[in-house]
Amino acid sequence: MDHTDAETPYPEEHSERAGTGLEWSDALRYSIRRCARVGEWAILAIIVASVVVTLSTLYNFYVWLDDYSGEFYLLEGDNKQRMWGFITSLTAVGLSLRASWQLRNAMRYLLWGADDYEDSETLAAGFYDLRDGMRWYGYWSIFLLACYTLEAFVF
Amino acid sequence: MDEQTPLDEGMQQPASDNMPVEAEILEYWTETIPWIMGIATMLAFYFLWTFRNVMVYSGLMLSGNLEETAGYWFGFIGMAAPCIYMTYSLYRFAVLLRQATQNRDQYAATQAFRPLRHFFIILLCLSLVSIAALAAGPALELLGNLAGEPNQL
Repeated sequence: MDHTDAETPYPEEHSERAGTGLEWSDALRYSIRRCARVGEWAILAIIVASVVVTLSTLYNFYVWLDDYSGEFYLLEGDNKQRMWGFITSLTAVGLSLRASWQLRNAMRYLLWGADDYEDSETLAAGFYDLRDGMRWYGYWSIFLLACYTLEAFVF
Repeated sequence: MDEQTPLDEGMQQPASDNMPVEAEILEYWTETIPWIMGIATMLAFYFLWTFRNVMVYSGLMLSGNLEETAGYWFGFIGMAAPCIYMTYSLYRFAVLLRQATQNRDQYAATQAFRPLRHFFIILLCLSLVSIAALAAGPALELLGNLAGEPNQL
């Protein structure tokens, strides 16, 4: 049997096609595109909300410190709770911002990649960032839950 | 002799000349699933904790007045429903993505991004409400100060 170059795929190409079994169908691309379009706006809103929360936290803390009279002792009154709230709020917002930035990149790559029928590298970059964004949101939720648990038992 | 095939053949099924989903991307999906499951679980705990606090602080929403109690419960359900649906959407996304990667299920892969879209829609709405609520306080205070200044002078 005569095999020409056109008929015989490269070994790498052949194994890749046989290995995954899934393909970038129009329906899948459409689904990703719709999801990424909304996702981009949602993440943008989360970033704006995070910035507003940061400014609000900083302002409230500044006002509290400005009005504070006398010597500052950490264990006096509700100082401990306020300091704890300030530090945990800023840390949580920082983690959320880090995750949101990664997810924003992911959504943009997915939006671009879903339109590009020739190259799936952009989609790969999008899913790479989606994984990292979710990982950072995982850290954020672990931190938030740990704070709530600690507050319930300590304060 | 060439066989004659209808022009619309293959329109209902994915075309065979579509690019394959690379193993690299399937690996990313597989690594993403546990994180999404974890986030969904922790969000569920977080929401339950918040609702428990709301119920405790509002006296378990049981006042003597029937209308007041009903109002509390409607408010509570109105607040809880989007949060529960968000958590469920995230969980559903993880389940469908796992089904797609494990069984190489093209339909599951296509359907997986629908719940994620619903999650983002609710997240967008909640974020906008949060921004409005956060901005309303200082804005009203500023307006109050501006309105009060001439009287003080």
